[in-house]
Amino acid sequence: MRMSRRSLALLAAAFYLTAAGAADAYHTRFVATNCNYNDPQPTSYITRDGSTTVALRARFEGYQWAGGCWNDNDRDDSPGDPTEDPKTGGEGGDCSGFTFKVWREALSESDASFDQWNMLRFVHGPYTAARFKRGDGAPNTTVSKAAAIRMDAFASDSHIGLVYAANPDGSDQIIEAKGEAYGTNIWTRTYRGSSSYGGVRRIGWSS
Amino acid sequence: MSRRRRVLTVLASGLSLVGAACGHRPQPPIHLVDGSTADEVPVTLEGVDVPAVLNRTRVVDLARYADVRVTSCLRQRWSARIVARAAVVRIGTAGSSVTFGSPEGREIYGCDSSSGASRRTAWCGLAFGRRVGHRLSDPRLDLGGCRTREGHPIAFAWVEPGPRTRFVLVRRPSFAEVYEVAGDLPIRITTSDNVDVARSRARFPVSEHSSSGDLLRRYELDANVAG
Repeated sequence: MRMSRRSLALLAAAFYLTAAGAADAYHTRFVATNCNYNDPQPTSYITRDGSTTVALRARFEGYQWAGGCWNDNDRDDSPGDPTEDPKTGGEGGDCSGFTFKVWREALSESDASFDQWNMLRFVHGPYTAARFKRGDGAPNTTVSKAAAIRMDAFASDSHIGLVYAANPDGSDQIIEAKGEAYGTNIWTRTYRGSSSYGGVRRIGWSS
Repeated sequence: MSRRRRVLTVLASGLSLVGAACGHRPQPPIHLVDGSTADEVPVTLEGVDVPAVLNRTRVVDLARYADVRVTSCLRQRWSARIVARAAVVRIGTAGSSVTFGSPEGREIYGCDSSSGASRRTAWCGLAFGRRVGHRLSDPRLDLGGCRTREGHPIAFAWVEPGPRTRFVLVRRPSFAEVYEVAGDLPIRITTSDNVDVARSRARFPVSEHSSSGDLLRRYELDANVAG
């Protein structure tokens, strides 16, 4: 009986150490296996319909802190990543990386032209949500929340989401990379009425 | 002087100049971005074999008076509704910054500049972070908005110093930039080296030292733009 208890204790300790080690070394191979650093394709225009299509390709995919690469298989290929860890190599963008890519922005903040990034191109861009909120960078500007329409954004100091559709009750359907536990999807949100959020617009829409 | 000796003298001078040029190491900046001369580090820092340049650090008690740099940061980049008790202004060799926290210390705000953070400062960057358990979970890298005079991007990030740390040091190619711990706030460190705009990341070779200069820890902060 004594031996049995000791064995159980050893087994538990071994399990604990294994689990702790696995947690420390957590990473997925999604980025390493699937993503690339190819040059973007310059384009001469951006449309709200086209950007909506780009955004919807990321729907149901994952979320990765500091990330910016996803496929289009409608599932999170790296679920349960540790939060706020850029090294986990998981699928998805974070809120600002998702916005950067959908808005076809250039890596240089002084460049307002349009760069089409393939969804498997790993890129985040130089902007955080707080900087988007202030309209930082040549492609971005602030806009009144009342004037915000499809593919404009609402940004706070820590989050940004794109308008997918306005609801009759004043709320909006927002497409956003929400967090590790949620992935990227469309949710009904009340950012338009929240004092923490401001309106942001990518400049230069053709339609 | 014979012709042979003259030739030898000229040759020796030439070789001496070449030797000096080959042995030349870039001099560290002794001036900070506001044009002032950098102070000397008051202690010898263990393990540092390059010249050390001290940032100018000032803690501003906002309850007592309004500091022009902090006011400029608040008005230009943050809402005036943010209430802060103290702010830390740092003037470095590549950039300057203001860091302040919410009264309870959970939210940290920053403004970044490539100039001397004066009244007319153009704040080219900013950062916002949340502390969990009194520590930031992410260094809140800011890059791309601020540039050196030569046009190189400047990266800014926060580090949370350890409990015994008095000096935080960031190694640059020919010198080390030294930051003093101040104001119970994370330290906004700056570099224009190892900045990868294409991958939205920057690396900072960091060491932390005690008040007597002892090396406490050394690590590389690999920071990414996020959130």
